Amino acid sequence: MKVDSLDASSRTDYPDWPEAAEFIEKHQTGVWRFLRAIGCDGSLADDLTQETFLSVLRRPIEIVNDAASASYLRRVAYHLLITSKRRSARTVVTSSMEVFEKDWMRWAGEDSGETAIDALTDCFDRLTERAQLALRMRFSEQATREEIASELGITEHGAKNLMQRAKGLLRECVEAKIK
Amino acid sequence: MNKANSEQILESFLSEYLDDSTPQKINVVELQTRTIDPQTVIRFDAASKAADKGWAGSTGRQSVIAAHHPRRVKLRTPSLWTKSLYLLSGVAAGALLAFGSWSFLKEEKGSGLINSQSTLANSELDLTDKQPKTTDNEIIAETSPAIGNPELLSMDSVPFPTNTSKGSSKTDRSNVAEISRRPSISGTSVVLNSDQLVSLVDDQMEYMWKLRGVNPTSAIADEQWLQRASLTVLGKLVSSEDQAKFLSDKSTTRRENWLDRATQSDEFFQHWSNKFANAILPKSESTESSDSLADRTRFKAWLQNRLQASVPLNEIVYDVLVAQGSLLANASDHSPQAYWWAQVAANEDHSRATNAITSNLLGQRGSCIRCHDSNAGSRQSLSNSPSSNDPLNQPSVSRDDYWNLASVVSGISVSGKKGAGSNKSNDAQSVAANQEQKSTSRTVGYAEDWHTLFYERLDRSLMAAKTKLPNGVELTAPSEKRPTSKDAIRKNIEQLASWITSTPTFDQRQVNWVWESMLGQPLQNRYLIVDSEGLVEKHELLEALGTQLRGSQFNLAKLVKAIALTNAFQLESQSCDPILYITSTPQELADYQQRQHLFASFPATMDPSFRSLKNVATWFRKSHSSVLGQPSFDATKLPKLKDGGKPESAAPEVTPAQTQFIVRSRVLPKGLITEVEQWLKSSMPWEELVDHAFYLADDAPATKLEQMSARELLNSTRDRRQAIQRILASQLP
Repeated sequence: MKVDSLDASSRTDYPDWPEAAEFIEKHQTGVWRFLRAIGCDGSLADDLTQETFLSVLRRPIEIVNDAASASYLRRVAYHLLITSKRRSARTVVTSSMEVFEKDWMRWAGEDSGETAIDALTDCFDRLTERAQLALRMRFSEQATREEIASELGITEHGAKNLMQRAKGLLRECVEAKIK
Repeated sequence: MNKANSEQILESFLSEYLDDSTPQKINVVELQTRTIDPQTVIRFDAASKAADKGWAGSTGRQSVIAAHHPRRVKLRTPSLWTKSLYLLSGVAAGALLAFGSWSFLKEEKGSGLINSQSTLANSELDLTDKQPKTTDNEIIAETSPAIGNPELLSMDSVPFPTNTSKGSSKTDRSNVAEISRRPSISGTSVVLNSDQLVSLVDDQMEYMWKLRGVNPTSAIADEQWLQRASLTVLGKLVSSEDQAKFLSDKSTTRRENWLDRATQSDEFFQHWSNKFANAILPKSESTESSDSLADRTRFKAWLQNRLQASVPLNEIVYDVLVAQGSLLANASDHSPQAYWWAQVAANEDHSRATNAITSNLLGQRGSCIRCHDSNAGSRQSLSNSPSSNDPLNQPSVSRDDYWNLASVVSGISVSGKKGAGSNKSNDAQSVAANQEQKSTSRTVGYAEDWHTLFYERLDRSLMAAKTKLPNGVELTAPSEKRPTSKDAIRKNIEQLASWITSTPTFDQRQVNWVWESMLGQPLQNRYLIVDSEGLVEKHELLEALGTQLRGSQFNLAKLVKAIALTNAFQLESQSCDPILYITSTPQELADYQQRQHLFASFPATMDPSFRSLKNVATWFRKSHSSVLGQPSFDATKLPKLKDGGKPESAAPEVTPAQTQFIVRSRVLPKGLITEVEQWLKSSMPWEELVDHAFYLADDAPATKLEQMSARELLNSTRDRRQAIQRILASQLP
């Protein structure tokens, strides 16, 4: 798919660009997940994902392959995040984007993280029920550590250890599966 | 795999999986309607070229830089108005003016200096024959047909003012008869001896003074000269033995004799290696308070050894630039000169490293060009500038050149950290041991993982930097598919070092810092808007001295001796007398400042306290009833003095430091005031205004403390214009 022929005068033809929707659909999830991974909440990730594609539509690129497009989109998304953080005078989320990008590629690969999510689903089922409950409360209900500890009948320190161990197991399990 | 990153990614996936959150579906049609923005400048080349290079998998280092230094990288989205303002206004003009002489970096653009340098090898030239013939009072810039004709004001077409043949057209200046014969400064294409070098400076200075009707102060006596020379040449007060020896020398060349002895001494090399280190290293930031004293000391000792071994400055800098190895003294690959890279390129801060090259090695202003494209708004700034006929205003290096340099520099990698030694103990031995511990583990090498550098332009298009030198030489570019060999990066750095140390701008930078060390201010300020007096003459002199320095194999001692023997060095200084300043008329103060800028009086010893913005802010907070607290201090409104008495209402409250500050506040160069007006018209937030002021002064943004003081000053004055002008007055060199 070549979009480099789109110039300033022909940009009004975008609604007729049949590949635009396909392009966005293909990469949207990957950009959104990447933004979540680098610290955006769901709402900000939604906004910045839109801005990312808006930016690309305004400045078309020559598309070599999906991996290159995804990489470029991530870079633009990160760029937008920094701008956003800077506007709100907050610090950025990661100090070394280069290293993060490498780890992201290992985790999300070239399928926007679908394989990792599948692996995570499988690995999560292997956790003990208590560990699953703790993580569900933490990530689904945004429960505090105190609430989790109270629910499980353990100390806060115990809840912390439990979740840390569970996440460690999950990480090892997922990494083994996506290798 | 980085554990922390993996955990961060895992948590985001867990959150998505457990919370069942999904991305909001993008409405493509709605998105497309938002893309129509006919005012947006479209840049296709960067992204497509980046794609051509197969950058998939690479990361934007600019983004990494932004992550480390969000304030250093301007990721702003200017409105059309702001954009236009930036491009056409003095912000760009500031960058332009500052980089006026960058045209000389482009060697193919060949000015007279390049040509004269190429003839340096043929030093057996008859000076009188080879010098261009001169005419009285000729100023090409004023009579050139290019002036006023925008078509002719291009970089290539504006002639550098040179002396023309005798009997050519006359100028219409009214004071023609009073102006002395213009010195043949552009004819210095041969290596001059010491006496000729002194005459070269003196003639140009005299010409500059007479052209403007400036009367220099009188010359100082021998004893005073000796004290001044001892302080500037050796960095110490003259000893009684030395003074006695000097005074007992009854020959007419006793100053020269003393200088010959002084420039051979250990103190000379120790003093100038310190100065040299300070000149090539960037100013320390507050975060570097734990900087290793041991590393810095070894670096200075290395510089001293090289200077004492008569190694030319350009070779020393070349060695510094190609250095790699460990800073640890007992390491097998110990390299004390690698300290420079360790200081400027730590934390992958390529912007800092590029600034160090452009500012500290080449005497340019990287901090402007990093964000502003110097090619934009050039005509506007030329026509508005008070020195619009000044060829120094030629637009030259683009922002792209800056980032191309940054791309080359990004091949350098500094690994390891400063040690965690503690200095809590006061015991000298413990401190030394801790300092040694701090110097551990930092190693300068070449990047294992070198990637394309991306940067953002004002129109927000993302550009891929090229690995290319400003003279057009293409270097090895990073490969995104496989790691670039260290050998290739090493060759890039070697070519960079060769280019830096061979460019005339490098020579001029060396002259400029030596001059500044001896005469209190640089011969030519990097920002021409800061210094509006005698720009052309000073630049001519700087250019000629740069050529001479290279011709003399970068003989530092010869340059120092020559400057110490010039008339400018031997003039009396004007003291900072509060009464004098407060009772002077604006014109008298302007004359005083003019003499200072034209080296027609030796600079008075500056009280450093008024450069502290915290002090200035405190003065204003506490001084509402004094002259400092007045919104616009005007000496004519002070109570009239009776019988020459002191003005009781103001004088007792004003210290010498404060009077210096008042004077500087009142006579800011016109170009600078115009520049400030452009800033104020833009929508820049206060903090950015302050940063711009600090960039002009120190080539670095304001620290947190300085920002707080600036805010305090703003609150006291309640006027952005006055506050920013006072900040500039306190900070400018």
